[in-house]
Amino acid sequence: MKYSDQKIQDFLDNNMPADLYRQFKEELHSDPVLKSRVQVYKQLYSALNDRKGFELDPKFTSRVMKKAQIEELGALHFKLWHIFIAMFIFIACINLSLYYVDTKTLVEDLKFSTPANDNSIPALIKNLNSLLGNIDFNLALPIPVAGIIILIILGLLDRFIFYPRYKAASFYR
Amino acid sequence: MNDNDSRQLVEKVLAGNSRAFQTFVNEYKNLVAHIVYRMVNILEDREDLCQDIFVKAYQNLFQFKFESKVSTWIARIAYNTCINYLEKKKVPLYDDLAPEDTSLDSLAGINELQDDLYEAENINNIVRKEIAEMPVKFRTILTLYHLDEMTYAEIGSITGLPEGTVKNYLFRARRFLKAKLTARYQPEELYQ
Repeated sequence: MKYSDQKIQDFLDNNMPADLYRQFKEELHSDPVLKSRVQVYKQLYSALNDRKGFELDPKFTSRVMKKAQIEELGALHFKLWHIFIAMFIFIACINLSLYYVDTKTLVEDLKFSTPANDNSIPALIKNLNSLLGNIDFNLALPIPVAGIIILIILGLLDRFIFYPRYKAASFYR
Repeated sequence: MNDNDSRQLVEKVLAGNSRAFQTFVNEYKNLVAHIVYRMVNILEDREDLCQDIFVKAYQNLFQFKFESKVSTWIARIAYNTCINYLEKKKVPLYDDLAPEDTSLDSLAGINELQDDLYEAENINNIVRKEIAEMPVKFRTILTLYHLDEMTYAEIGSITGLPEGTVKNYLFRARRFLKAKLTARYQPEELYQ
């Protein structure tokens, strides 16, 4: 056999140098065995090009649209959940701070706030300095700092990891 | 759809145009169906996989840098999604083709198949059945080349195989199918 299966496939794929292609074509007319072999491959190619059986449901596109929109809602839900966690951490930090702050002196100082000087803003401002001066921040300071660091980490995660997944804009009508 | 049209379409989808995304799905759904239907034999899971592929494409479209055709990019998503699915189902992915066996054993069913031919209607169905039994990579390459008219380079980029390997697999797959056909039919039966 002058032509291998590889050559026949190259001929049918139009993947042959022009002179060899011409020569092959000439021999195809004169050689019934070669013709028969090429015919078998032609039949096979025809079967391979058959698109039957690949049809999707007519509602496929609308189903994909719905699914994509649900995923978008999922993304929004995720962001809300994210905000909730951030707020929870912030409130927890405030509460923990208050727990460790010496609030007795704070309450004592607040007793200065009598009906007589309630309306006196300058007096309140004057007292504010001494109010803050009595708070023991030594124990409380690391907690809000830790809270702030956590918030920054969450923000960075949101910016660089979570957000890009949903970067395509929401669908508009 | 030419490259410029594809670029405009992608930009519209990224801007949030739902009609553009509909067009995008309609444009590439046949390509995705070809890949999924050829790689996955479980009928019930096929459409869900096709839907998932488009949702993934939508979520990752902003990462597409137009370094390849959109069709190649989405075909790669489809291929990788199917590979992941098949791995979960523990389907062997690295099998080679069976030897081109035309011995008596393989010819034993000729008469049945001849009768079957009437039921199966035509050779296309026989070829389809044979392809379904081939290893996944051979099936995919045949599909991308014949149904989606992709080049060896594009197929290589989708499957992660070198161009030479793609060409070799394609050749072997077709020779295998030809051997199956000639074992079952006389050459004149194949002249149509």
